[in-house]
Amino acid sequence: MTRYHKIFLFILFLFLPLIAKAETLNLVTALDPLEAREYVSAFEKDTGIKVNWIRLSAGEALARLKSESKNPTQDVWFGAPSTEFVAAKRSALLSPYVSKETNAIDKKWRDKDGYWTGVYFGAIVFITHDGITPPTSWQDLLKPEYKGEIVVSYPYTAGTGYTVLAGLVAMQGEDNAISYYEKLDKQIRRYTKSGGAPIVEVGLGEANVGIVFDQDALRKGVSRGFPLQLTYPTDGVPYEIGGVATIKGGNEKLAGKFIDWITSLEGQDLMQKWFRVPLLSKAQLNVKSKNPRELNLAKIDIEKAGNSREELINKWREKIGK
Amino acid sequence: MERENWKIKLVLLIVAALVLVFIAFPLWKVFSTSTMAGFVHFIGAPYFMRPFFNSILLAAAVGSLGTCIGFILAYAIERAKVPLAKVYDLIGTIPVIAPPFIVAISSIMLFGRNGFIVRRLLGGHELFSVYGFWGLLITETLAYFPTAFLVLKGTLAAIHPTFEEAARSFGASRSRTFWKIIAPLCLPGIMSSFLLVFIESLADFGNPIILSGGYQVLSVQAYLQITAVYDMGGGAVMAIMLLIPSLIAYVIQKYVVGKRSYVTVAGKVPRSSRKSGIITMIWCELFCLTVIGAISLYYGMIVVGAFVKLWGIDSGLVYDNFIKGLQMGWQYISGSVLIAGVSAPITGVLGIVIAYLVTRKKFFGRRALEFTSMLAFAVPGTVIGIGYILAFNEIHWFMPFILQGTFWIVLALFVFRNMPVGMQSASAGFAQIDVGIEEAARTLGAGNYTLFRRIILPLLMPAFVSGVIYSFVRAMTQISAVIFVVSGKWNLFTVFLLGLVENGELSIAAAMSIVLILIVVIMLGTLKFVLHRWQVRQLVKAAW
Repeated sequence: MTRYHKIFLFILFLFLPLIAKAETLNLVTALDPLEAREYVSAFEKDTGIKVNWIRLSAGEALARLKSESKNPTQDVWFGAPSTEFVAAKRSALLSPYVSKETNAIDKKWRDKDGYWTGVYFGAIVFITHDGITPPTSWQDLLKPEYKGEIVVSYPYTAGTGYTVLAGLVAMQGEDNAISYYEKLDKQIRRYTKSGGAPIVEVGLGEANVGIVFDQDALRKGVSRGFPLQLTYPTDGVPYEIGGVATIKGGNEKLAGKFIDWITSLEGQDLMQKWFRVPLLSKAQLNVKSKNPRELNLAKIDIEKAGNSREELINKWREKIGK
Repeated sequence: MERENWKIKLVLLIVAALVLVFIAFPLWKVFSTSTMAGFVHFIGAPYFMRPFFNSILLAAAVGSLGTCIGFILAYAIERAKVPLAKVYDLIGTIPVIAPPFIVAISSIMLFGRNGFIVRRLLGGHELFSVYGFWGLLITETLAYFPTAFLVLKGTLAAIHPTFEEAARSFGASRSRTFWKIIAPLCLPGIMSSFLLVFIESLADFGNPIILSGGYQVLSVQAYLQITAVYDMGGGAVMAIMLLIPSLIAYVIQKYVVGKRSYVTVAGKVPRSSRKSGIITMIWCELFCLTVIGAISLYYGMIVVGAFVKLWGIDSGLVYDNFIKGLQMGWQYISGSVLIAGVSAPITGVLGIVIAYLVTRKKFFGRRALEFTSMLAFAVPGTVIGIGYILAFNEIHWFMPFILQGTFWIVLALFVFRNMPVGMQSASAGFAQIDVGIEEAARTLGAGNYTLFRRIILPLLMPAFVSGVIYSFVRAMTQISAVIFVVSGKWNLFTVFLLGLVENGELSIAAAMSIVLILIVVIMLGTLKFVLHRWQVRQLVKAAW
């Protein structure tokens, strides 16, 4: 019978990873692997807590959290636009978390009930390949010279894409924004799945104009040597507040530790290295970054933009047919 | 004997349960999640119907073009016997072991506006948009024509040369011989190549996820519907719409075309002594050079791209891309190797066990077991992936814990999706082993286990090896199904590669593609070597 014993032991051994579960923080983030790794390592070093992380774009992460709501495998969600957090809050996927550290962030950059806390600010910007006359307003994008030259992400797959749509709605009202987008659609070369994909495409000259977040453009484009020009639209800049939130049913204690750390000066000072504008006022700002106060920001109601996400996206898909 | 029978029944029960849980149940889940209203919505919405027709049109085009290229290449190598045939043969099968979307990466590097060919040779004039129909057609054809090539090479090799010789002796010209003898005999092979490539293109996910966006296809839209819109019902409907044309093609291929095989030989085919005409030779050679040149260009571009500092901007040569990529992706790479290494032998054994049961044992539901086992292979990866996420996201009475997000779901997906190939070759193997050998062993007192280990496994070694190799390669290169079930803990190399491309890290992606191909080649070599040693030892043992 020794053979059977061996087989039994072997099978038992195979099942071991299921039984044993160490204390690690499971983190989901929409940030790029290189950047995410930096925050994660710094956090691990500062606190001694091990982090198991996965990169999912904001839309994918929301979908994943919904599908796992009965049995969450993630503890903290970091680096997604606040509109997604609002949607997640409404779907009862988050737990509130408030602490001394989160209170140090200005009130307008966090949820009033503490379900999410802002950690950085990002503005939508037009990027153009060197030598191309940049568009300076949303109306400019409709000019014939940009026909078939614009690259932007789908509103339903990328936080960037939805921020653009929500910003347009905030500026022009829903009906006008959708009919504007119908005209814009005719100018578009292709839609991308992830929000940052247009940067390299424009950088390489595969397309002439991209609509992206400024911090992404600076980091993935300009700082890598791509000949890109950044132009903020004069008639209104959609923006995001990147945030962090505790996932309901996960390890909320560890999640809180991460939130405290990322809103502290240690975490916030890392932001500028990646061209993000930190929301803790004491933290450093990168010289290349634009101060939000100098921009004509769109008047986005974050709560509303998050709550009407599904409805707005459905309307967009109906009209645009993509 | 009573005891042995009981054991076989137990094995059968376990196998049937596994197939039910890991193949039938997820597929059933896809159907049960979709609703009538979902279908009505699908047919009414242009953003669903357009990708559907796009997919069919693209698959038909890829199927036709791929079959043409495959046929001419196979004819040149097998019949015209062009010089360097061996080299072409080898290079022509490279796309089989490479992850399919490598071609998409080099497509951008070659034919993008800033691509090597367009910028350097054509002065910036695009021939076609890489991110559209033509880009996808060329990419997928290059990735999938080897299937047609391999099928048609087999078909051509099975045509007895005496037919040709007889026709020529009766005074038929070369072209008449070709059109009246070779072409009709190849017809079933040609049709089945077309259908197989059609299915592959329909199911392709890796290339369109990178290149679509201008030309949307169903496999990618279904993925986005599930993972980005979180519309499980809509995703299930799209999965079924993707499933229908592939199943139709599969059934035609297996039961209509497959039945009409015009095999003209029994036993070994003598080598044809007759050479093709010199004109045909030259055309064939030129064609081979073009196709092989294209393949070399695409894969060569990957090698060049891997050493370029910043693709498209700074063409300084560096090896940083490898270091950076390995640093970022180490956990993905080792995860992939581990899971491929664990799943491959399990897949091989399971394939043989199922093949044994369905070919040698008579039991109720035998055909159903065979059919269901094949399903996991015939169904597009997207459909299986959606089925798995729907099925294993919750607790069932037969599944007391949630599989989603664990090592086990990835393992199960690989095992059941790749098993049919090993099973097929094992079934063919069983057909060749006389039942008398088994009976003799039993008479000499061998039990089921001994019989399996000492008689069946050694005799089926080639089938087992091909099953193991196939599933190892697929586990390293597959993405369409597994992208639905990966998680933070169990992530895979191909998913990492896709992330790199999406972030525009083309050079790192190219470098990592080379690493992936190297791992596959090294593992294949080791596996072959080890198994060869093992076989030799077995032979020595047997001789004693």
